[in-house]
Amino acid sequence: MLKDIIGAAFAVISIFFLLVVTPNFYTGAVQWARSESEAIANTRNLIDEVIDTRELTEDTLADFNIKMAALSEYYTCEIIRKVKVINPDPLNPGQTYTTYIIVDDISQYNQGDLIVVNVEQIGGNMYQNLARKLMGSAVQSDTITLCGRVR
Amino acid sequence: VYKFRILVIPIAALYWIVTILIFSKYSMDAYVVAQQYKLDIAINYATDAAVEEMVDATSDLKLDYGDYEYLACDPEVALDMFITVFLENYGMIDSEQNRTWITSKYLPCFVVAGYDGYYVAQPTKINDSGAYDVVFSLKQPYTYHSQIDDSVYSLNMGLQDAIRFSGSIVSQVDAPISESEVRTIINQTVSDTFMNTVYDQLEGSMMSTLYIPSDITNFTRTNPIDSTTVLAYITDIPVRYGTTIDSFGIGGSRVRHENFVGAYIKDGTKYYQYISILDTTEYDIIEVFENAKLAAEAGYEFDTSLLF
Repeated sequence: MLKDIIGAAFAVISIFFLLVVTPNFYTGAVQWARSESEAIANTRNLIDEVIDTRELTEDTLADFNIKMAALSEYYTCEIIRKVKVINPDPLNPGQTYTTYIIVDDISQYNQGDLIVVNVEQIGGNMYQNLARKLMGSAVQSDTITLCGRVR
Repeated sequence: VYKFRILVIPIAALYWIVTILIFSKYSMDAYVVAQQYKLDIAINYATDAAVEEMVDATSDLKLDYGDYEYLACDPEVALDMFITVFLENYGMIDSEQNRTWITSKYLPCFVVAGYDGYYVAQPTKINDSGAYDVVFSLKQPYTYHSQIDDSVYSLNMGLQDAIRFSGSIVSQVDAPISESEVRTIINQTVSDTFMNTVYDQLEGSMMSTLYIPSDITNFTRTNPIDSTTVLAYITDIPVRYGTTIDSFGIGGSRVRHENFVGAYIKDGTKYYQYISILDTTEYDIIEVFENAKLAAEAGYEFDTSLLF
């Protein structure tokens, strides 16, 4: 009798894992992979637009934000503008050195500036979260950093 | 009915384990694919930045109509810029250590194809204590050996003239072959050199072969190497679980021929039109502008009547 109770409990737990947790796990991973490549494509579009037009308009940014919000995961992004600065080199008179300075104004760009977009995933999709709640499985996530030189 | 009861639990456990294994394989593949996509984009931005920076900063348009579309450039600038942008793409600091790390470990080949020759950069042994650094080769010409007059020609991207080496006589002549053949030879030379260098550096353990098509169309800007170009090959970038990925990037630039606009007064109105379609004997040109926007800013209007 005791043996049967243990067996039944084991069966219930197994069936729960197999039929409830694992599908969520799978679906979450598939959806994550799809969103990941979409997030990379969106980031790339943003950078392409900036390096071709030398400006980051409100419209471009809003478009980017809407596209990222339409994905099933939660992302936060940071846009950095690095201004190219050429100064005389104090160590070697007559020569120059190039350096990059991070500035707050990200709307206008000079030729030669770098734009760095850092997209970080701060939350998983629904299936990932379910699997995490039920089994404590890890939520797949990745940080996307892309950088382009303004033409 | 209960004959195989003892097998139920092992089969369920096995099923579970196999599912988890298949899942982790899929998850690994998905991650690698995403990283490959990211590397492709990163190397694309890096080569584009390299060629643009090189042309912007160091180009020297020799004002000599004998050298059509001549453009001299400094390949070191391209390599510098390539690594800067590549490091930024991976969120790494642009320090001397990181630069050396990239050039000595992950960049087996970096080729700059210029107007009349190409430079190849590859990690080269500097001393016996095992120091490696990327060193550019001397400028190599695009050579063509003609069977007809048994002399060697040095071709260039202007596609029109060439330098002939016949015995000890060096002379500047018209290109001995057609423009598309010149283009084919330039592409072949660069492609072969690139592949050979990669093959030498990786000692045959390449993950993939590259083929740069030599001549696809006669339309400009669609051929792989049509103008000043940077080619780079990045390999052995580690992604999760001991997998490595590699990628190849190509970036080109072009000398742009400006189409100036001329401004004139017709029937008391200020007009401008492109010089290429403007009959200069009919209209007295007052001013010449670099582009249409500057002419418009100066108060001239586009003359639509000349288009028809």
